[in-house]
Amino acid sequence: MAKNRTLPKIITAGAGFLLFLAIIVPRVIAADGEPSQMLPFHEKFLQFMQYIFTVPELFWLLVLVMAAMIVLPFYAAIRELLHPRDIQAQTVDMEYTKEFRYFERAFLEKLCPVIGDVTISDVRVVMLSKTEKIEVSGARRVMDPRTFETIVYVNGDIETGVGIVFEKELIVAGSAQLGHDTLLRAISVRGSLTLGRRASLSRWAGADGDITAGDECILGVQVVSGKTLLLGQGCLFKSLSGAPIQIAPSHSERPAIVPGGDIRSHAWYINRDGFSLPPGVTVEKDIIAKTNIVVGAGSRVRGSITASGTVGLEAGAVVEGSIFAESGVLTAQDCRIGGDIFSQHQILLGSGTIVGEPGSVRSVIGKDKLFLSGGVIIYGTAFSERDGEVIP
Amino acid sequence: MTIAKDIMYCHRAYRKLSERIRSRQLFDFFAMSLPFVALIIFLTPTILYFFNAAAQHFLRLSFGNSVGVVNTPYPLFGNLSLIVLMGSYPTPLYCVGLSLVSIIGVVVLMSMRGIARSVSVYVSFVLLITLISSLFFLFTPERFPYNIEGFSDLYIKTELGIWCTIPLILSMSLLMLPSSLAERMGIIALALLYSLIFGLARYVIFLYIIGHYSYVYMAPMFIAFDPPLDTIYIVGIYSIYMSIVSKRYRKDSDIWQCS
Amino acid sequence: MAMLLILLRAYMVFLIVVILIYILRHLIFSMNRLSGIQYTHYPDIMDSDLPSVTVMVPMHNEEKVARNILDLLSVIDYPQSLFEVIPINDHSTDGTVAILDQYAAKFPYIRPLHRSSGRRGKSAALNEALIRARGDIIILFDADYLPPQGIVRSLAVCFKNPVVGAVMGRVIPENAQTNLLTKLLALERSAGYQVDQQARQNMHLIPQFGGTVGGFRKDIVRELGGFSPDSLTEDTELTFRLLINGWQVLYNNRIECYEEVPEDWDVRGRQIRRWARGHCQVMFRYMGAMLRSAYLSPVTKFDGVLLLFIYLVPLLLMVGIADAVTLFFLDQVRLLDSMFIFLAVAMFNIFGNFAPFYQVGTASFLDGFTDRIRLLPFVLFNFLFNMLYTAHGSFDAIIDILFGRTGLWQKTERFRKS
Repeated sequence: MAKNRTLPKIITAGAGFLLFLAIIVPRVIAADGEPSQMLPFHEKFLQFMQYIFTVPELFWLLVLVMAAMIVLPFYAAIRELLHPRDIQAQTVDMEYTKEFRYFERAFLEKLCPVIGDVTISDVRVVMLSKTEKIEVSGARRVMDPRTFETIVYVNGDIETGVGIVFEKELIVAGSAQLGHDTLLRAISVRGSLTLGRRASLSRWAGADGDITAGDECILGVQVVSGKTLLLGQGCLFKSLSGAPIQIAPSHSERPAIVPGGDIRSHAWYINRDGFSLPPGVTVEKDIIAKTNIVVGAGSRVRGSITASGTVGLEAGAVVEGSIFAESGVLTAQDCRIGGDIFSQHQILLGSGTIVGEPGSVRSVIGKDKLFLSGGVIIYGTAFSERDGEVIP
Repeated sequence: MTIAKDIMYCHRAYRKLSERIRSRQLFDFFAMSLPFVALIIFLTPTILYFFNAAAQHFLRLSFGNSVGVVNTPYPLFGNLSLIVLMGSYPTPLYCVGLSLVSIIGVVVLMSMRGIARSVSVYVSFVLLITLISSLFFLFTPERFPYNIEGFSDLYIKTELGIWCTIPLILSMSLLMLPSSLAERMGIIALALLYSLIFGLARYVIFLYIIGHYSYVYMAPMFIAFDPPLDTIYIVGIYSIYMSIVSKRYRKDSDIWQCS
Repeated sequence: MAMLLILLRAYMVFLIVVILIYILRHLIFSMNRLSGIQYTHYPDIMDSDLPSVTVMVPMHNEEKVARNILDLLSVIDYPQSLFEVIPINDHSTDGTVAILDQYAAKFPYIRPLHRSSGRRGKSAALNEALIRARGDIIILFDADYLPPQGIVRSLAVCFKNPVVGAVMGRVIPENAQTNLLTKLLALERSAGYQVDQQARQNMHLIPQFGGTVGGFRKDIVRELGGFSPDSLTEDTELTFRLLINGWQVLYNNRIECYEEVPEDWDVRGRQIRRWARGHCQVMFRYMGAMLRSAYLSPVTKFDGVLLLFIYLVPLLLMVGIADAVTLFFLDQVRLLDSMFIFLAVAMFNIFGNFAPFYQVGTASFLDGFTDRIRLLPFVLFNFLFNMLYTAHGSFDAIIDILFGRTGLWQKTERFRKS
């Protein structure tokens, strides 16, 4: 029960007021003369004070005022020291470690102990971080438009039609095939997962098997596949993980040319005031540059590249190590990067670019933007803090 | 989308203010600081008139009609009102006694340990300056360059400097916060008001001490008790306000974004 | 006399300029951290091709804390074939030896190094351990630290960038609630890491390697001749040696680890005195080389000067106060002179990490502290305390240079109850 601190405050304030009166009243009564009527306000006030107080009380009063004004800023500090409200040390998560399926694992760790017998189909109430309803069923087909307002557990495969809405998590013990325009919060699948065109995921998706996302899907915060993660054109994402991540080939032969005089609308434009490797050469070391770097077509770097500016790879260039570029990374078609790609700004991987190799895990991290063209393959993860997009 | 999205808070390592907050910072700095600085410069003669009139009335209770006020011009600020009063020099015996007390005080205080050490360091600093002052008056009192008017001049100019600096320092400190401009200007106004009242009380006390107890205390008061004490309430007001702002916006997803 | 006055006045002007530069610097840092582009996310790299790592933990009489860190290192998330731990027993006379042997018997990848001869001190201990370390990356923890499970992976992955020579994470006081001193130090650490270090990382200046919760490339340090045995701040020295030779020091805010801060004022005073002495030693040794380095931009060099200079500032401020007193008695006080004292106290009331009060406020805001920030006025008591010890340390460094003296490395006392 909180201490009642009001009473001491009232007593203190009352005592102070009585003390003040005890000093003033006798002196007012004993005062000689009257303040002048015609003086300005501050003169009247000072004359009044003159009648009220005499030295040395005035001096000590001023000392008290000054001391009080020095101590007053410490009042909040003293309170916090004696009765701290920030009582916890800053928390450091001692078990924090990067893992692919963090959100999914965290949810399943809470659900599995409380879900009960999944062979019985019913709607039951479970306690997660709050009370939740969960609908448990066997394999099912849901073809008519419908909204599921509870967590759904399917002890088998699930197939849905167009426009189904899952407002809470969907857990599938088998495989899941979700139709076009599906809206779902999060999904965990033991088998494989297929998302139809324009499916929209708000949080996470994880599957032990393949994940296939149709064109123009919105892929939430994290999508993790234990096998191949295949994305259609126009998908938006934040974090992907797959072995590998694969972008479906572009439907169009060439991106549409935007009318206008800007050269960037017609071509890959890389400012060549930096370092550039001619086509067809091999470099046996790492490359570190305080500017932009262009690796010529078909050239090979048997090391890593770090640049303060932009790193550009022309068609068929190979970098066996990693690429770290402050401003951005652009690759033309059919480039190969053996290591990670990291940029504080943008990354655009051209069609047919391959990052990593089978059996390895590599990361492509474009903090601001990450664009993946058709035919890109990434063995590992892809992440963007802002926008990730599959482009033609 | 009919699905409710939880707000995912950014980890403290990544979060920063949103674009909307960032864009107005430069304007805010000038809007917060310049009006107060201009006001202080414009109102200096009035403020100082009241300041010194109040001091004069308080001091007259002790020193009688020997307390006067003179005006002296000061560039940019106009007329400065200053107190005029007869001060006194310490006797050689007084200087010797004060020196001994200071030395003993420093030796005793510097041997303190623990948290008392941090307070004793400050008190030792005051005593050291007192020691220097008493030795000065012991050996070369004729060289002491100030009278009370001179001290008044120093003090008033320092106060003016502090009053002009407070809006700049606090504007800088509050610049980055997401709270409203009016609220932050209110904090600066509060700090200035605090400084005015505090400065007046300190001014009268200092003049009283110098007038009654001699010029030997002028140096420690001016150096150790004048500028350093002003930082206390500035930092105090700032810290309380920061605490309030932090509580208010801690979980406001509108003002934060991830890296 | 006229010459004396000119010198006194010039010194005062110089100090005001110095203070204003540091005020502006820390304001820029605060604004950058709160609003600017944040250079982060290195630990988000997931790579199956990880470097081999040796974790070193220097220990001198650390029986109070040794078990805690070794327990945590035994559950670190890192491939065991690429991981080893070398706790360095440096002339311990308590139960540290027995504890290390106990853990070595239980975990094959914990391979203690026992030192009972040779020079004492962290630098000497690290040099000897470097010879036997198998890992390509060396990660350091002080004995009182509490590393989380994923920290080694987060640190190691940053070395995927070939230009990175050292990586530094963030320290968080675990005993922040013990007393007033620890609470103030928690505020100080918050300002120093959350704002100062991260801003320097963002602005491509000089984030500092702190010698703990951090790592470096073994081969580079070996090529550079290891650690200087008479250095009291081998971490600061390594920072500048790497930078001068073109390597980057990377700071990452997300890589967090608990530490123990001093709970006693005298221990704290000795700690900052040692830091000041060591830091000034580094300044004397490396200022010239840093300014001449072809790898650093002019802006980085300028900030490097400010960084190296910083522990000398309190000594200069003390001289400045003496200057102000002298000017006072010579009837030469001008507005600037009295304002100098105000600005010095207002802006430099935390000397441990040199964070002005608004930087502490910014850090607390980012960290989500709501009430701890109210303790800030107490920091003013620290002003002269910290200034005294820091100035003492700087003075020690000047004497070291003038008379060729070397300092003895002193371990900070531990307070954790077993």
